Amino acid sequence: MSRVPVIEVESLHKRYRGHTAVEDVSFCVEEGEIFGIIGPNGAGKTTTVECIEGLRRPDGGSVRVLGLDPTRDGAELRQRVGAQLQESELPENLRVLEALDLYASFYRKPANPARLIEDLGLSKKRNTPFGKLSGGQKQRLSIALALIGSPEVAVLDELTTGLDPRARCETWGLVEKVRASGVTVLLVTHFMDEAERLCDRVAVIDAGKVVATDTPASLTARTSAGQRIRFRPSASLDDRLLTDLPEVSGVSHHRDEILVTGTGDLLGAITSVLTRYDIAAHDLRVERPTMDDAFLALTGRKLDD
Amino acid sequence: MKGLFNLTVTEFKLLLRDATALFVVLALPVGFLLIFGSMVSGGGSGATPDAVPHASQEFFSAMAVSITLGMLALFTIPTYLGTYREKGILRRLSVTPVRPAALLVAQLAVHAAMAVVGVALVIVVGNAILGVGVPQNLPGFLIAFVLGVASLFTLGLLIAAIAPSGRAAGGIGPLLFFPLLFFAGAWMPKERMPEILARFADFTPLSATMDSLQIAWQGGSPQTLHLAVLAVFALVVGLVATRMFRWE
Repeated sequence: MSRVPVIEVESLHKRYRGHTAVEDVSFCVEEGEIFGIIGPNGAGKTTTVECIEGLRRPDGGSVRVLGLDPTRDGAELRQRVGAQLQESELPENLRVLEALDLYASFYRKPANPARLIEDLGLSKKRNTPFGKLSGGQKQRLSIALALIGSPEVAVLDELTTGLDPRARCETWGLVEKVRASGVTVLLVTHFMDEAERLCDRVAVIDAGKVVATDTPASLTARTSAGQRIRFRPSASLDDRLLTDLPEVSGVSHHRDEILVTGTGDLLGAITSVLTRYDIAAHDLRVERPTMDDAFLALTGRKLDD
Repeated sequence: MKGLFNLTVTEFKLLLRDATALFVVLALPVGFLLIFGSMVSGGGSGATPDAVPHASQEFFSAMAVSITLGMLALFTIPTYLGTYREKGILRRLSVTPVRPAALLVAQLAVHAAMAVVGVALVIVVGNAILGVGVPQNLPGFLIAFVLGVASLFTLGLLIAAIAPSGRAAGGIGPLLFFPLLFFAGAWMPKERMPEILARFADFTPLSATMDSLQIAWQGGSPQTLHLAVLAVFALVVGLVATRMFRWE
């Protein structure tokens, strides 16, 4: 039985005065997934989710969320989709519990504000004004607001931008909890480690187009960068012993350390050669390619450019 | 409707936590009235000392009310709405079942309530401490007040609509407020203005509001011209402001 997609985006196209923000974007998000949209700043990620949220009207293509058309069925959509917007704040003097109570009153079947505050670890801050919260606390409150209407889908845009590493890590844990409670999550990020850690699948967007859609593991496996193995041999070793191996694509030396790149069972091949010549490998490390490498391989440039 | 009601209640709480807004509504008009009102002797139209020949206590009462309305309209409304847009609060609302226009309505309602508090304070304190009479032509006074609030508040809405940021809105407001206050006769009585300035003043909202309030206070009927100016101003500016309002 094939599952009905929760979000279906097909050939989405959106222009602003003078430039095209989204050229051609298509993807499907299935129920219960954490689906990532990744790409550099200005790639069209936010415009894409704004079309999904009904904030913008597409110039071409179609968008369906829970079977609804965001521009036509906006009222119903907003009841069932919770959103956390990039850089959206609350009035300085509005207190945490007041904000949640207020937003709860907008929805047909709101979640319990007190319990949500508990779940998001804001109990001690319930009477703190928004202006006095730390960056991480503000972010947790904005997640709480995205969940206050008991949504079926949560759209989280640049969730951890500006957070310190610890707050980021805590926020990631929260997103996993949200998914565990049955909510489908659409996550927009330009952090590859975030996508790798959280997402079941990601769509890589560059210059308004989807360049790949896959699981983070498959995306990284696809990269030509392959695996990297570093070690310090206990005795000198002829490079040719390694380069002759079919799995090896390159060998280089960094001081007394050897770096071997390649594919397949690279580690097995290297260790059997070393064992044959009775050489021990000190400080052996296997480095897997990261999503950053995958992005570089897919788009031909680094994410920070 | 429940959403709009709760938004209004929340905005009211926020305004009560805002020291500047409270100062504008509570301290400023009463302080102004007490200082200037005590410089002229008892109410009525007759006795006006030479020091301030154009002034009666009703003049200062009407001015205290007008300053409050003007400051609410041109200082706090644009700053609030400009900041709400700048901080993405209006945008955040647009992804909830409540429409961001509800926040505009809530803000205007809350500010209108504050205006009522301000005018009530001026009447009560003026009467209790300075012996200023209560408005003699109450219907005329209420009409002038409602039209004054409408015309000035829509002007504040227009500033919020076109200002690029909360700070810019907070700057444009005073830029308009002081000339309007000049035309209302705050520095130079209208009788002493050159004819052409005085004529022009009749068509500015703060001046029309203040004249109408003062006349009604003293028991007369506000000029039809002034009331018409206020009504047309509110209608036209309100229409332009709602057309031009940007939510993000």
